[in-house]
Amino acid sequence: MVKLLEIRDGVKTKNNVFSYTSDNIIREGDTLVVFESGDNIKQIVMKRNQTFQNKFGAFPHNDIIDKLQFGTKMYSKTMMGWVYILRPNSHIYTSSLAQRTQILYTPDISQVLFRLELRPGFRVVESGTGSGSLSVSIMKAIVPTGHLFTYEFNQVRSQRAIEDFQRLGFYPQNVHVTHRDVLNNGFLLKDESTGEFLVNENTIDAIFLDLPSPEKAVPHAYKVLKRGGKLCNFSPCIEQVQKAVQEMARQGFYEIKTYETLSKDFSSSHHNYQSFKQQVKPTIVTEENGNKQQDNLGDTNTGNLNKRQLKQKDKGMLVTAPKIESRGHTGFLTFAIKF
Amino acid sequence: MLRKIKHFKAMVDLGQLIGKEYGQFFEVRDSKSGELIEVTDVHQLTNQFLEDVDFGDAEENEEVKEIIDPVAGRDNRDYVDDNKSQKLSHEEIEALKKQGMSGNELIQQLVQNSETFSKRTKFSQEKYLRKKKQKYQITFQLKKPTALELCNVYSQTQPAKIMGLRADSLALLLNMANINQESRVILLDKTKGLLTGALIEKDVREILHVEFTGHQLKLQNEIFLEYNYKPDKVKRIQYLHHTNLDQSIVQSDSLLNAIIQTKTKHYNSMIMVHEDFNQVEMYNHIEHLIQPSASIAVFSLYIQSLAELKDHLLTNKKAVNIKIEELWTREYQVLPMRTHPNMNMHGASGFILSAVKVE
Ligand SMILES: C[S@@+](CC[C@H](N)C(=O)[O-])C[C@H]1O[C@@H](n2cnc3c(N)ncnc32)[C@H](O)[C@@H]1O
Repeated sequence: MVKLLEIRDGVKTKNNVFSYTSDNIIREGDTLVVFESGDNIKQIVMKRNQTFQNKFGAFPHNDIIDKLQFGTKMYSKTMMGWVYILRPNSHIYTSSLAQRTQILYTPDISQVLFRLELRPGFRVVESGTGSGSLSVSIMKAIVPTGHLFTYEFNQVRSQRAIEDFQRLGFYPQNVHVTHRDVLNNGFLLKDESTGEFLVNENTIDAIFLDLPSPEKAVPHAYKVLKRGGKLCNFSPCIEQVQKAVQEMARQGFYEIKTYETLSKDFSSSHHNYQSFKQQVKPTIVTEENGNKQQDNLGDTNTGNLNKRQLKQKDKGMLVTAPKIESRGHTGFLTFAIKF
Repeated sequence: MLRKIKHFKAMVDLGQLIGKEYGQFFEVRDSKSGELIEVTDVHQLTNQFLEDVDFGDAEENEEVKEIIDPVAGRDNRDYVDDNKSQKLSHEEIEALKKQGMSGNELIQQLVQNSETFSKRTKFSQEKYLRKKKQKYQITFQLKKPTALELCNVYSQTQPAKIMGLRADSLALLLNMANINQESRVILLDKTKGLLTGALIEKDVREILHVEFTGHQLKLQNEIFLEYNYKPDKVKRIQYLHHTNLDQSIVQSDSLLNAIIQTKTKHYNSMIMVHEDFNQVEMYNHIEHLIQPSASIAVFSLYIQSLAELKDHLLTNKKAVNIKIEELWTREYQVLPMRTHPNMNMHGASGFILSAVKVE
């Protein structure tokens, strides 16, 4: 036990919320996810002597820290009910974070990560930071050697982002949060103490924009991107897309492609399609024909099935249908490459 | 290896590309010798790489005016597509080509013999040139074989080889499996190595590829080889036949051996793209090696098999946050006053099941 803790401390700066541990044990300071049901998921940070409360009662952190594994069931003190305690993955993180702005959701985030071809070691620029939903996924893809430079002109949001990234184990080694209006001031960034450029011209592998008037940020993006570096813009409105695309072409981006991606969720259930023939059967059977003919009248022969199979049959047919509540639009994603 | 490939109508000696950078564009200067020149100006690219956008003000674009201003008599009602403005006939152009005139020279001839070229706006001239280039000149790009590029190529040409996995679905699959540099992935995969390559690209720590079919590894890995990975990266992949999970067969790798012998819950991601066997059965065969809280992601073209798997995980309380979803992705043409989704789209995204394992 002691040895494990030492190892963790030794590489403390490298551990983040998605890190792998072979013992899978929850430690103090870890962010974990309390899963009550599909639409009740909460993030909490493990601190000694604190207690998580919900309708089932109390869940003391001391009973979790150094004792329980991620992915297990935990009963409340009163045994009134249980929750699952999970290690966040980036999908769960995005669906349970504190929303301070509109955020990017998993289907769009997946497209951004894959089409920008983000890899460990990449230097990525992002603006605005917003609630940090995308930022965390970007960092997941580029750690441990990569770095995210994220810009947000709302002071409170940029401060909150720093707090979040620190709690998740990314700040300061994997991310710079800069409080700045990028439309007026661009992305060039200097280290205040040394005067060295952190973000210089032609040094960035990929850049992501999610702000109003993206076309005004495109020239700044072109400047800091490397040759062959990729740009992605997310805009909810098609007019923004048109202006941004035009500016990309003018600046000298090629392979400018715009996509819209939506995800449709399916529910599944067991549906019992009864045979109408079987339903009229009993009257015929009991009154006139006797027991022997019973099986021939029904469409299905249940004679040879064992108990378990019969139970399975009772459950009916496994059917799927799209869920009624579904997102009709999020935004358009435009990708382009600097020539 | 020096090789000649036939690219459209020209034979190109690939030896010329050695030492060049990925992402560079080349024009075949002369289709007979196959000599290449680098394209150094983005506006010299052909339409296939460049959005057909006006670089000037949208209002000055004649074509737009034509569309928004039909009352002024500037629409297409009197337009006859007889190509009269070009003085060279089709036969004359073909004859020039036969003489071995290069694409560039031919385009210059066309410009000189066009009555309307000089009357066009600058944008319109550029557009005209790009169109002609597309027709008479060969431009191509040297691309790095990445998961995105390979997936796009196979989706368009041989989707069955990669189990119908579309780029957007592959993107979601990787994200739902929470793939990152620290991932230990247990993989059940029939995409001929497309997926394995995508994981290596993300620099995952370990991959255990569990084989269910008896096919030769070579055949199964055909696409993986196209990534051209260095041996040190390939070392992270372990291949294991499923029968070895039950038997105590001595493995060359002692760590893997220990994991299997002691049934260690070692892996924190599981991805399945495999339709040969019952998916519930396959999952049950490997689940004892998966860590609680691991991310599980399964792709299938058929929703039914995923529904069965979901039912199994749910009723046996093996996972939470179980979700079956389908993607709807459309590409858009973005042009002033002419923005709309592309007319043709790939309609089958397949389905993705994602979940988090619990105990
Ligand atoms: C929709 S949010 C971004 C959400 C983010 N992508 C996420 O997934 O959480 C847009 C953010 O951009 C910021 N923003 C808008 N204009 C900006 C500018 N000119 N410079 C810097 N930030 C800006 C806003 O304050 C807002 O927080």
